Amino acid sequence: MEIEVIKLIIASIICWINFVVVDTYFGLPKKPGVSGAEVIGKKIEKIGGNINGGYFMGNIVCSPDASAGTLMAAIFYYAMGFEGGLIAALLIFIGNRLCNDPGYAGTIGTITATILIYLCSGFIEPQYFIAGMVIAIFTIQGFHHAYASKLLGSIAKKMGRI
Amino acid sequence: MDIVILTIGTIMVIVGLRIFLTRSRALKLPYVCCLNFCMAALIVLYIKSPMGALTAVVYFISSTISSNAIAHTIGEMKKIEKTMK
Amino acid sequence: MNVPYTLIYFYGISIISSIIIGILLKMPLKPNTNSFEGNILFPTVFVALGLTAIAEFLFGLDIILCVIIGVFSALFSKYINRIFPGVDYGN
Repeated sequence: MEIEVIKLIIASIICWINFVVVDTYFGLPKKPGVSGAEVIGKKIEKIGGNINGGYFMGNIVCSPDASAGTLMAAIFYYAMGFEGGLIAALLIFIGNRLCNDPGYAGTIGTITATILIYLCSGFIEPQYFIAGMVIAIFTIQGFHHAYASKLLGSIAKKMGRI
Repeated sequence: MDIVILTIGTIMVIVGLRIFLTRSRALKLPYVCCLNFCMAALIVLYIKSPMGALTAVVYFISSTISSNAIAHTIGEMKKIEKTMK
Repeated sequence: MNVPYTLIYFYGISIISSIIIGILLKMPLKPNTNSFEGNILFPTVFVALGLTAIAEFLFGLDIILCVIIGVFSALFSKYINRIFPGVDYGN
């Protein structure tokens, strides 16, 4: 039981770092992609958060970015093995294009997540990465919006991507 | 009961309750996004096959497209309300 | 970890053929993260990898199939802006 909890926590930390770093590097906090992301960002700023973190969260809602890419990589790795991650990258790219997004963040996030899951496949099974990605998205989108947006804004400022 | 499914189910119940408790229509969308992640994960955990994975990705992308459309509509409505005043 | 070298060989063939066809089609060299146009690396390599994985899952791989996939993925990313354009929401 304890070893399963430890695996789950390590997997969720790996997923969190992967999708936050890739999304911040490809400029999600800089500007809202569609007008709906701008509304969500302004609303989060009104309840006491950071505007750049708000844009980040709005962009995640409005388009399948590296967060969705990490989840899809874990799902396809669980069902099909390493080749599944490559198929997931193609499908996420098509989904990005349907949502008015150039698609760099989603595709490259899927490939990096597949490589990370492959490197960890000796001691963490892929289903822990599925649950870990759900925990990671819960800490961003579902736990406390103002605090999460402040954290994302400070990470974006540290990486120099605003 | 597996710990993976148990974790996802617990998160799903919490997020589902918070969707009902939130008053703002724009702030419901991040919770709905989190719920979609949980749904896609549960689909593939119950149907462990390539077709289950395909179902999960099609469900997730189509739900994201509808979230995109709803968020865009909220933004346009705000613009229309500003011009009506 | 036992790495299947023949599979890496086939994936390499499809990536290299897609890049060569991309150079022949005069696609732009530098990636631009704001534009919807395809360039020589971004959608081409990933489309080639995804299609090769689908072909391996459905039929199994050989050299001719990999070259055909490379040509197809280069053509797909050359005209990506016509196939999947940016959505304009009717305004």
